[in-house]
Amino acid sequence: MAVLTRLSGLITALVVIFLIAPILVVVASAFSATGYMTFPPGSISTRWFAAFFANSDWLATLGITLVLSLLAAGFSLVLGFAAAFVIVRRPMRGLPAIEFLILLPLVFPHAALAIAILTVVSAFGLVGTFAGVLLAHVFVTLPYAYRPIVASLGKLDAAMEEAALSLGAHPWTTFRRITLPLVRPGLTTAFLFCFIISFDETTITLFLVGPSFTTLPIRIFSQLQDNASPMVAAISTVLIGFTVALVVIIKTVFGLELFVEPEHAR
Amino acid sequence: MRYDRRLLLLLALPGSVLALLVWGLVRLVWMSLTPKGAFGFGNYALFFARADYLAMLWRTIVVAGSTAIISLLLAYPTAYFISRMRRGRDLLLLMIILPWLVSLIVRTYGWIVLLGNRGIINGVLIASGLAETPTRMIFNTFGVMVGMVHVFCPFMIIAILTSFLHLDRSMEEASMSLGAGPFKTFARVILPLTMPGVTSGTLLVFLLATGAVVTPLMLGGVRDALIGSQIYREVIDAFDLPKAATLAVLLSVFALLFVVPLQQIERRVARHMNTTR
Amino acid sequence: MASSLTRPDTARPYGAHGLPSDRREAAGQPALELQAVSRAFGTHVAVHGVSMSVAQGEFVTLLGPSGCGKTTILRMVAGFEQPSGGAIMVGGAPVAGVPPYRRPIGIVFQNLALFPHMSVEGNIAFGLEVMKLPKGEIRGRVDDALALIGLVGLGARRVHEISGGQRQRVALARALVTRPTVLLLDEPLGALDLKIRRQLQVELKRIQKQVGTTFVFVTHDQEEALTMSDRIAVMNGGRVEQIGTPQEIYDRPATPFVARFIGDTNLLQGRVVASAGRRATVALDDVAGAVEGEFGSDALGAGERVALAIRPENIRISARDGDGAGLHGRLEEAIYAGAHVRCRLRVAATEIIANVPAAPSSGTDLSLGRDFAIRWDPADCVVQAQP
Repeated sequence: MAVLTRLSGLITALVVIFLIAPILVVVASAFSATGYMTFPPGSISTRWFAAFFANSDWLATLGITLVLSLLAAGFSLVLGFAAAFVIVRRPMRGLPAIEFLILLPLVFPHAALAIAILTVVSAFGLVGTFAGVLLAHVFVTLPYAYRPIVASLGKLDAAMEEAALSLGAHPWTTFRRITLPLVRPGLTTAFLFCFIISFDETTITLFLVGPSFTTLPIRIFSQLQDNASPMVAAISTVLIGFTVALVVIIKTVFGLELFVEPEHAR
Repeated sequence: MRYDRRLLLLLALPGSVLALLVWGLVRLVWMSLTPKGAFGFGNYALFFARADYLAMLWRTIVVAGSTAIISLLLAYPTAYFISRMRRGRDLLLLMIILPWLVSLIVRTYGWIVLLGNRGIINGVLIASGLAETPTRMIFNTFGVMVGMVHVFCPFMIIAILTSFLHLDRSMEEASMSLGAGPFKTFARVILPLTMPGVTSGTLLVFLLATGAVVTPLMLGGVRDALIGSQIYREVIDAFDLPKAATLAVLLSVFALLFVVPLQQIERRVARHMNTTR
Repeated sequence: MASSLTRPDTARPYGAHGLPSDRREAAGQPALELQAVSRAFGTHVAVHGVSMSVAQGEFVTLLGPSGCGKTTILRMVAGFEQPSGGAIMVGGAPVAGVPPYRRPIGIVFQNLALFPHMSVEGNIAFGLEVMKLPKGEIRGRVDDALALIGLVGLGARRVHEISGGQRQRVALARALVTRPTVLLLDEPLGALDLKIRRQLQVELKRIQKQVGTTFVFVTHDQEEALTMSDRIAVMNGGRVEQIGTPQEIYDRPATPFVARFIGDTNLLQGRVVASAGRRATVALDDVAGAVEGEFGSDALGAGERVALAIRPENIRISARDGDGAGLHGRLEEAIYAGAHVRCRLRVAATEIIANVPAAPSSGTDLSLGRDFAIRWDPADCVVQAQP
């Protein structure tokens, strides 16, 4: 297999370079004096980061985007847990349909999904509001919450709960002291996953923002559409930093297998 | 633990959110059927009467299909290599997963920096004397393809890697010990056993690629729009929600039209695997 | 085995905060009583009208092959399954409608189900904490329990940091500290290797005697059942085939199933020719001539079909003297098995296995092909009704 392994190793190296390159150039741009990486490279500077952190307007957008992602992740966690708990514990007819709906946003073409969500959000008059975008983000992140929770609930040994009951623990105590702690890894994963997805969401959010409310990725998008401020690279780098930090947390706490096989991870 | 029917009350929360989603999908279809307030297929008739719209639909399918195929060709060897690694697998996996999770907008911006007329690649080409004028690499279909493959290749790698990690290494060794060479082993053992990952990855990438908005909007040209970017223009620039809804419905229908045969293949492969095992 | 035949007469309280038998139920009440309990899953009947009574402080084993309904009985007693019919009383009180967490029972699960996110102490203390006992009392009881199972000093360990045998003991202690009226054990030793298993069998029995709690133990391992139990209920197909002391079960199997399931047995088919009291004379189907045995349960009249069960170690063979009456067979196989030689004899159309002591002093010439007279003490041959 040496031939195939070497060939695939070469392709892998190219793929990794291809995947990393645009991210590296953004980071490099952020540290350049001009804010736009050119060839040959200019001098190194951190002025655009300084400019970003001095700009209360951009910081406010970063802040509101963080709040949005935390809330979206929180709601999805609760909703995903409720659905997963019923589907794992009390399988019955009709539940597969619910599961299908939860997972639908994972595979539905996002341009079409965006319009469907837009019609809902506009029906409540929430276009361009925090609440409207939050609702959309719950739709989009719910499958990312649901899958790890289902996996960890499915692996939970029913005898654990029975043991607690036989020791005199009320079902609610059992849930609080046994069930929840044992599925905590799944819950943490779900939360972090939802947070990343929500924090970076662009396609659907694009249709829902308005003059009074926007998120960080959408503001970067608008900047790029018009004349980009040199600050954009620095802001993007901050965004990259957030993602890297979260992925590294997930890697050290749970291992990367989680991304590959959510149903086999711890 | 056995639970009684009261447990179903828990479904009220996610159920109501999902009901909203279903309602949205229904409204989507309804909106496309009621241009200017009256029921009718006018929007659809309009779409099929216009050659440029049909070309756009075809372009969307071709771009999404090409994205899926190119991603597959890149992802399969990568997934194979990662699955065979003993040390450093985590680091390599990180190199795949990180770009996957970095914001779409940031990555697209990176491609503008790299491929733009004043971008790094053109800078290198001109500085080294290989070219005199910048080569146009974005704001055309090439740029869209580069961006889309970048976005969807990690999905494909992860789908196929899952198959590879399920594949017992001893299968490969058994085949070799039975006298099959590396290429025969690949064709007769490895490829068939990783087919489920290939089909599900291809399906997923194709579906998601048909619905891409940001990449064609930022890296594509004005004249070769895709359905996704056109939907955005109809909503944001033309405020024509019924038309956008029509495009969205047609996009979903055509995407599914292409997915169903692939799913048949996937099912046949799965059945084949079950009978041969 | 002798030790397991004697019942602990008095339950000794253990330690200051120990694990004494009890307290709640009136003296003389059985700790557990099943009255015609049955359980059906759809059309499949897992348990068929099982009735039995377990006295306080008794160690009773439900023994049977997998799928015989023993675990279902356990789960019904625990309250995880509801009987389709019949009644269950724990400590004299019916438990129908009482949820698992209000039943005075403890369980040691097959896979132990120790809480992985808690320490050894945390696991043992859990039941006491949910009872909202004072901290000092919990501390005392946990310490006593750790002493009882010989794990003093390991209380702070995580569950995955201790050995399989130690985990077993923790699961036992966890279920015992709440002082249940009945402790249910669902094949808790199944996953261990033979040596540790033997050791734990002895220890389990010692702890049971020490604390005097009523144990209902489920296993498919007949040896385990024989060594540990005060009484054994042999189950098959959702029914109890026989309840008795290990000696009764072994020496007087009530049915062919029990005879086959417990130890090695020769089973012969025949018809009663004459009976006098417990003694029966039976004509065998495959062999000419009559043999003698004793009825296992009720005596049957002449003409009834019966099965005869004789343990290989109770069969004596000797070189055939002339044309003497009685059973005789040709030696076809002799396998040395340490303490004895396992001899397979052909008797017309059937085979009889006899375990002959291997000591050279027995002096029997075990050459293959020789004819041997086959005898047994009628008291060792159990005559069972053949349905």
